[in-house]
Amino acid sequence: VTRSVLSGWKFTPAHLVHKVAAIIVIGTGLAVIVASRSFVYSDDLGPGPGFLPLWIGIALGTVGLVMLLTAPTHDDPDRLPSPGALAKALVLIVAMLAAGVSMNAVGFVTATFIFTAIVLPTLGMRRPLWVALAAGCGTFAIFYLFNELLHETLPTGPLGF
Amino acid sequence: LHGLEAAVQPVNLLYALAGCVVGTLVGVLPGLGSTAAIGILLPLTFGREPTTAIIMLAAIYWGSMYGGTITSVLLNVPGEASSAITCLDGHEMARRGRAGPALSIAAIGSFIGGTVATIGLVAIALPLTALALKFGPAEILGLLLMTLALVTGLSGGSPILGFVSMLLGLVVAMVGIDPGAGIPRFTFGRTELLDGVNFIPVVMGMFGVAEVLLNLGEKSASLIPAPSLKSLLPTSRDLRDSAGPVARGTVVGFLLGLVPGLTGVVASVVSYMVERKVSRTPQRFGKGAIEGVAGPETANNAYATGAIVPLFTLGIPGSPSIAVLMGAFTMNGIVPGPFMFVEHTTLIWTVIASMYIANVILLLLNLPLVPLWLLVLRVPRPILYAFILVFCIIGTYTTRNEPFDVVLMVLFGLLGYAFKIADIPVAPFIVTMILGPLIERTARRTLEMSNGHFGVVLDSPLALSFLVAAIGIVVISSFKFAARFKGSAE
Repeated sequence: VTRSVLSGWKFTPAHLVHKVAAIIVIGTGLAVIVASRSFVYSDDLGPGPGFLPLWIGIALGTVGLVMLLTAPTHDDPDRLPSPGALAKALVLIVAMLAAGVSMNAVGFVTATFIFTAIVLPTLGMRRPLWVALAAGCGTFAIFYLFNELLHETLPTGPLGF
Repeated sequence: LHGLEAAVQPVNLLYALAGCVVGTLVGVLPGLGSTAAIGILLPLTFGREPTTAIIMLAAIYWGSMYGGTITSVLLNVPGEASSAITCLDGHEMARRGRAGPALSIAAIGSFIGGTVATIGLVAIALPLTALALKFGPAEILGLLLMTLALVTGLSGGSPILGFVSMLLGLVVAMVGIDPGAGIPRFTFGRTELLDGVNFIPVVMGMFGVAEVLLNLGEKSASLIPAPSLKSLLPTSRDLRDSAGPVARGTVVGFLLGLVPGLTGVVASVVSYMVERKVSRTPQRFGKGAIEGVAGPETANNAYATGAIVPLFTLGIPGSPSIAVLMGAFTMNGIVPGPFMFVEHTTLIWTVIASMYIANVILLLLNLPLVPLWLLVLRVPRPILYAFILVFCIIGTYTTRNEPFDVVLMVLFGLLGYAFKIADIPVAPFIVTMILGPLIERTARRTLEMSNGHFGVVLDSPLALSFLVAAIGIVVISSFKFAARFKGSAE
């Protein structure tokens, strides 16, 4: 245990990720414990709505603490994403959120066209003409598949699509 | 027979065929396994009849399994984890110009494994169901806890990280109206969360979005040319050499599929080890031995059928893809478990019959379509990934026409990405998240029966044995991991 604890305090990227994950797990456990206090723990019939959350919170906090004190399962920096990959991931996440949130207002076709037009260059497609073609054809193909063939109503914008 | 009759209805056959084709199509894409395939393609089943929808999803499940093999053989990149071991000999065969026999033996073995395992499923389903119907809340609770222990302990990596995943799955499962008191819990005032966290955004996020994010830094692997149709046929020696591995793979795969928590990876790896052990020339393994393809691929498919048994008979999903199938059943108003054989008799036998039909379709269809799957692999990655994300967004959105669900999907995509970076297994999270409400309901019903005393679990010998097994699994897997970790550190 001592060796495990000592080996758990290196400052390599993999160790750092492991420690940050452990702290997040402990934080989540504490948050669940605090939130569980607003619910009844038990009543005449037995356990109440606060029973399971409290014990899950305690278990999460404990497991997070064990995680914090022990080393990660690997120390290979190549298994972690590069800054470039992280930046791309961030763009994709923001684009997905924007597409999802704006879909009701602007319609499926417009939201998806803009989404793919942003995502394709981020993923490595360089030529603007190809990006426009792929985004346009793909968007209309999916719209046709869901709207016409599968009869799923997709949201339409002010322009009617 | 009613089930078979319903399964061969033209509309059901058509959806089984479509499921096999699109399932293989997604399975062919590197990194996207059967769970992602079912999740991403779930929207295609919206609005269909429950039987048709489930037949299609089952076909997608089998199709994606076979799709993974094609990528492993031709690209040396496993389409999904359970096909990883096929890379060793399958790709080596392809490099030596024997991609055709590798793919055809994988297809034939998968067909035989799937067929025999379906017969096994039919044989044991009713006795197991009869046993399960006798279970009370304490026994069900014990069984659920044992499943959690299996899924967590056998997830492959650190049991601690497995526990983290399982507990986070339980936290997500607690969101929504409390089953006992009927008050909202952890909903943050959002009406969209009153029914709990919908499993579709979770699956789309953790398997679709997270996989795309993880593949951002990957480079495309070089393709081996497509084998001609004529070269797909195995020689009589290939068939002779594969007979034993196929038979052993079937037994290994089916039996391991019955154990909740074991993944298809375990089945294919165990089968590979068995074949190397029984071979008179083990030195050929890794250098293009057809036994190294036949055994694992058969085991993988037999496992896929075996893993359905706990779901159909006990209502327990043993792996993430089965958990997603369980979610799809629930979405269609069918609660998997022993009562399914009583309340939805025709449907269940139709699904079982269609499992066999899907295997036949895959055997007949997939080999001639290998050139088509290779075309899919030639589509530029940016286009593939961009439209996988679009599919995830539509699939999530169209479930309830709620933009909030897309936000949830992105958040779970981020969580899945973080899990992969921190080496936390996803399987315990998904299984617990889907089983969570049932676990809580059963635990509370059990405790209500005994005025809050846990002793009621100890009074039932069956529940007690499940509990002891659960503790044993956790202790053994922890010790095993500690020994392995200590060994690798030294």
